[in-house]
Amino acid sequence: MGRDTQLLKGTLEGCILKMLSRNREYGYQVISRLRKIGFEDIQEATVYPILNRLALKGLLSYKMIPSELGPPRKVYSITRVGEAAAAEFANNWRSIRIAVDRVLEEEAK
Amino acid sequence: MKKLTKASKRWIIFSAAIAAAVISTITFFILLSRGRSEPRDASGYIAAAVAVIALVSLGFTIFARTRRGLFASRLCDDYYSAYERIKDYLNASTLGFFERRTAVQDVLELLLEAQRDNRSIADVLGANEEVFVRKLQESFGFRSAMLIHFLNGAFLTIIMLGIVQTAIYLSSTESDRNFFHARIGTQILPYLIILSFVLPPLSRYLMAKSRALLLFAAYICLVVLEIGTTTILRRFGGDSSWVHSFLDGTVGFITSWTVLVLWGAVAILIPVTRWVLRRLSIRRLG
Repeated sequence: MGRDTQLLKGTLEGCILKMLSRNREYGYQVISRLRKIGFEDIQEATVYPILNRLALKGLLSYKMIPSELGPPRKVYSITRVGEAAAAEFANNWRSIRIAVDRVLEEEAK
Repeated sequence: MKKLTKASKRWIIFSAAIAAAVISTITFFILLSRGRSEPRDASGYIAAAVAVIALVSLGFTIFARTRRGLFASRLCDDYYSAYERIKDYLNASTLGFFERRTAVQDVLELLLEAQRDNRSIADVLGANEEVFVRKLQESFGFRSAMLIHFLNGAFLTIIMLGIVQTAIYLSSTESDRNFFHARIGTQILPYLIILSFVLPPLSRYLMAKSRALLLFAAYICLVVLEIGTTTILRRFGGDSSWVHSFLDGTVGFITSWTVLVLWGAVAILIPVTRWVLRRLSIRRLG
């Protein structure tokens, strides 16, 4: 199964929201952190559209901050609606993970 | 100054060829109609205006393609080529002006960061840049490309009809000239519609695909179509009243203050509709 699937996208959205609930970060930082966490194959081409969509949906907000490298950067932070969505994602993920683990364990027996 | 990318060279040559074709066609028609036109004929002014527009368009293309922005100039040649291709894809998309500007700025920031880390373009954008742009476009919400192109075409048509009527009015030398009495030749209407509805989306598509030659051929075909149709109709359909009214007839467009107000209202309403459609597509984001 390719890694650029709907499941991955949905999971990434939740992970990005969770990551940004602690820190304000710009796009490239988000990607670097995702890579370090374990999404090694993740590409900017996948993450930038997600950040844009989350911002348009009102789950993230951003400020333009001057950058030493180029044009002002979008530094993203989570909104209240985003925090609620992140909490919902965490709950859903836990219950799904438990269910999937049980299925895998039963299959392994 | 950094060297031009292949795409930029292609577009400058294409624009120069189009400008040359337009100006030579106009010159040809002026030479052909020498001595036949009436003293009050306004075609000379209109021809001059079209030639100036062709030259200004060429100048604009050269300016836009040779000038690298302050930050974009920090990109090395490979990265700059990718940046330019993405810009062309975005320009061909259904995104609005401000959406495109945001997306281009995001891409520039991303490429500068990736360049600093010595990463390959394929590693950053994936094997296919077009797919990246499609994803970026989809992140703004789904909108019907047909509907957006139709609205753009309708907007261009009514703006061009207004400009043509104004040009006819301004070039009239009659002492009792009246803007509302200025009439547009029926012959140009089909071409105005093709110019508004067909050529802009086709141009953007072919520009994104770097098919300058095909685009040039499309413009030349339009000119050939006009000259060919006129010549054939004059030669073989001269007796028909329908052909006569098409070739020599005129039609009033903005004929009164009421129509002028309506024209203005529609000209405002179309961009507003586009804006509403964009807002709706953002709302529908899953």
